[in-house]
Amino acid sequence: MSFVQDVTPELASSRYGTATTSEAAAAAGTMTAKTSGSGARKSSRARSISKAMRRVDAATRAEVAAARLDSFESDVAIVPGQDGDGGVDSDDEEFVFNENARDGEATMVKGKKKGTRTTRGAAEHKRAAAARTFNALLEQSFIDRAPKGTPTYLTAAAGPSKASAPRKFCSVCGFAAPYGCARCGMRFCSKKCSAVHAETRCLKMVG
Amino acid sequence: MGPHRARPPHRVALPPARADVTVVVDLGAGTLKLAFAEDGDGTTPIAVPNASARARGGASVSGSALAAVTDVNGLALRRAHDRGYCVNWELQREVLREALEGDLGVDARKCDLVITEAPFALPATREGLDAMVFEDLGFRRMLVATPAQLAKRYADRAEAEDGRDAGDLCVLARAGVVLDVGFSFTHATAICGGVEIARGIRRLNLGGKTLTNYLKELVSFRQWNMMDESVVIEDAKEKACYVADDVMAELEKCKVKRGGAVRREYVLPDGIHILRGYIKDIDEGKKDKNKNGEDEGENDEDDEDEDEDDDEDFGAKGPKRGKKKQPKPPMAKALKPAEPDHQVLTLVNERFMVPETLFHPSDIGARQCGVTELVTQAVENDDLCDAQRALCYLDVFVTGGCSLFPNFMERFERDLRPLISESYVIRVRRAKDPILAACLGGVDLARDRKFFEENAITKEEYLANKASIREAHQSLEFHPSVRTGRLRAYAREPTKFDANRIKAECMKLTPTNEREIERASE
Ligand SMILES: [Zn+2]
Ligand SMILES: [Zn+2]
Repeated sequence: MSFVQDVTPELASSRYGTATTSEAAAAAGTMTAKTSGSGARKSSRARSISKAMRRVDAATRAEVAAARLDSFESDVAIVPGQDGDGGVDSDDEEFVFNENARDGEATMVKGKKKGTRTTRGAAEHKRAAAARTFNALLEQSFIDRAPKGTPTYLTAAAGPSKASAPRKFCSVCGFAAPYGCARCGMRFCSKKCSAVHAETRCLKMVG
Repeated sequence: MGPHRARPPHRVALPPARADVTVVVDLGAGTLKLAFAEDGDGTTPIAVPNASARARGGASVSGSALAAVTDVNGLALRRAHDRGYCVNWELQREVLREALEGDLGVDARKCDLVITEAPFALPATREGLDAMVFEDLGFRRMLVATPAQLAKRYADRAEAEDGRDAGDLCVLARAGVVLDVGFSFTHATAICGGVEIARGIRRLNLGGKTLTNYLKELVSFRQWNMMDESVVIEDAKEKACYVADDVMAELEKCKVKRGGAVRREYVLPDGIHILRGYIKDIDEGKKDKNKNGEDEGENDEDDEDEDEDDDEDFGAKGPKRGKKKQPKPPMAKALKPAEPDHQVLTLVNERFMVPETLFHPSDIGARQCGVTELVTQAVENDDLCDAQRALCYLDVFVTGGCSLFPNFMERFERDLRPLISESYVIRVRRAKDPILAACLGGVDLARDRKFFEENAITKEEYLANKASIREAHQSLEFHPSVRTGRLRAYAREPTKFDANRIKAECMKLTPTNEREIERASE
């Protein structure tokens, strides 16, 4: 754990920004927003995140976790104009975290989406329409309607482990974590890590 | 004046494009591997990133030019693949064309092609490959194989390397499992009689790229914001990560001050003095240099040795030292402010927790089993009888870049054994070069001209039967009756064994004899 503190503030000044503050954590969070911005999935994802903010049940937790996994599976965070062909719902509401929240638990402030997406040039949109995502192709392929018993991309996916139960590691520092967050279910190992989790990551960052 | 005019032109004429050759392309989502079949066994395929990027000057670069980009900071790669399958054939075509013409120097229209395609590619993906190969690039003939088929072909040939010979049961029966731990995903593929078993192909949606993205997230939360630094983090991962024997024990080791012996510092590239990151020497006092880790001081010293006369001009470069060639005393280094300009990424438990997800995907919340169980899921399918399963476990062949993590194979083998019934004998091996195995298997295959020609599809054939080939792709049949250029069996007729023979052979390999097997294979 101590290695986090070993990063001296002087070093933080130059090329790479530090990630010890909520600001950098937010950068990590925007990653998901960027990578998930592919095709038709974008608007539904944005909605699912919004939902997760309001009502945290098992299903939405799973959705948030899936979004994080999805971002891991993404080949590149930066494919300019991969979003677009699904039509972006510009009226989507976005929740912005109030970083001045005192209680350590970030509160949500309802806000309007910033205009970056809608102000994109038409040329970029056109280019975007040509690029597609695997999930879009998968939907179009209708392989889910293949005759029963036909081995396909879908049936080839490995199932969950039968040999071992999921293990629990702290989402902040990586060590064994006996506690789980009551809101989002992510794990933490100590009071310190719990505070970091609540301040910077609970739901918003992994979503 | 005269001599100036007589100077030879800057542009050196390219050698004439190679023609009448077979090009082998392993079309990996992360890396393209290319070779000429005619160069034979001893050839070393070219490996270039399967991506393009906008360099600082604004020009788009790909292939070996991309690999040579000096400033990798913030380098944004564009990839044609998503989740292991090509989704952008325009981009793929350009990257491949650049590699073929620029790096290999071939004219595709005068060449044959062996190319890989991931298993269960969607109909649209297959159509895209066909169109790119024949309509855009104009190859004469094409043979499409899965990486597993080609890796197995290579495995059968790699006999001398690991004690298996042409008389080996699995080589004769053309049977085994291939575990390919790749860039986008991991596949375990059961192969029997030279044919992939459709229900014996299992996919884990985790690969090298996933690990890079995970490491990116970890360090961005804990240290520097590296979310836009995929290239840098991938390099750090390759240089620092390893597979733990026992994760809990390894975590304990990290609990000492500053991460103890596990701690490593990756010096981040700054785009000026450090073009590629490297792992800092653990012991500052000792002079055992990391092979990538030539620090700046060394370079300065070299400069001084070479340019004695210019010494004063270069004085501003840094703290001046004596010109003696002998290594600096450790104290001198200690007194220097610890490399003030270098930013380092400190890696402790990330070093093994990241590769650990291959063994326990549930650690990052993925509801899939790890690589070891993946192999058992592939073999223990209903299409294989007991004797065939026994054959598969006799040759578990591991390939793909992620198998290069230190200690990966040891951990894999150790974790695999308890998952499998004791009645099976397990033999595990790794490709000599896990990144190039499929490409080299393709070279071997293409060198069997008759076999290649029987299985390949010609451009004329493709153009004449486009509609029915399309239909075959749409049908999702594993082995469609229409010729599509997709490889069915990776080699000629295998030797058939009955269950009794396999049992008898396995009896010879029972655990009591294991020491003998080891000796034989050394
Ligand atoms: Zn913790
Ligand atoms: Zn939480």
